[in-house]
Amino acid sequence: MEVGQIFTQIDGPVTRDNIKAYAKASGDRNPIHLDEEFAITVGLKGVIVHGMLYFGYISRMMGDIASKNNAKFINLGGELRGMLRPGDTVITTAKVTGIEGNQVSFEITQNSKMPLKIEKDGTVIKTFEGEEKAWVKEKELSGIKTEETDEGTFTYREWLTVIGHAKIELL
Amino acid sequence: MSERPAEYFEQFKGYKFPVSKYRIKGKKLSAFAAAIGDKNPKYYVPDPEDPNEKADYSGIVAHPAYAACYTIPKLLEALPDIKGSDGEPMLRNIGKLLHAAQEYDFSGCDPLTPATKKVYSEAEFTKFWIKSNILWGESKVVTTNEDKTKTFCKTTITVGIRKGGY
Repeated sequence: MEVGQIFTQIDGPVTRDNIKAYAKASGDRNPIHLDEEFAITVGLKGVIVHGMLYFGYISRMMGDIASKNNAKFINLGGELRGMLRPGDTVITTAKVTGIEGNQVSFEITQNSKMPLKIEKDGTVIKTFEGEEKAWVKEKELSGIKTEETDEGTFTYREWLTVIGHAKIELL
Repeated sequence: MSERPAEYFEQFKGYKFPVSKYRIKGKKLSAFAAAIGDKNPKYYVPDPEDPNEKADYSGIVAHPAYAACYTIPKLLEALPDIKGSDGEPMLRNIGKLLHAAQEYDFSGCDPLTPATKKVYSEAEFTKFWIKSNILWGESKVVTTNEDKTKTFCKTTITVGIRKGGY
């Protein structure tokens, strides 16, 4: 392991079944995660993913890095910056920022990728829930990006969900 | 109703939450690991193919992310009951509450296994500040066994209360 090394993990797309399984396993049955109508009445335009589910993905990634490097995972912290929706893909990166003695520090960045639509020859051939339910907020418009795929031009919104740090101890 | 200044919330610094108890069950530890996509045998036991057989969870440990289950819910539940010296609730509108940040420190901690049965979390508010019209509150949580001979996690939880909630 060396300073500057980057690890990446991709999870998802997160499904409603993933959310239900997390709610059952964690005991967090807040209706903003499970009940569409309730989530709409509180202004969320539909259910959102538990913050601790996608924070859990980071924990899993750090656990994997620790296991593969014969290390112990000792610290993980992060700020929840953005909401995650069903259908989003989660991209987590961990960059080694320092090695002191047997401790390795990481900077964590986690982004969500919300699919919006696919266009071919100027015609929209597929729309996703994010587009249909207008989930992209005004402040997130700068995160809208496109990429060419076999199906056509894919439009998505990329947004920061967690920024954090972690430390492992080499054994 | 106007927002109260940061100084008002200084009275809650050092506030100790009621000690919360949380039952540890192997099956739940395993289900939690699966729910975050981690099927590492250290944390997860698959369901037996024969429905008459019972899974053995005794060899697993809690996933580090499981700390979310025994720390956050009880703390958030307790917030609406906290009142200031003037009898006013600290949190005026629960709909304005944000879970803003989380930090787990496992240094010097013991692994949490199903044999632990129950964990006990002691929490207290350590800091308050206002930034971007949001009241931020930081609390430190220490989770141990009943006689405090083992510590499983030291957690820092930051909550935010948006305008209209404080």
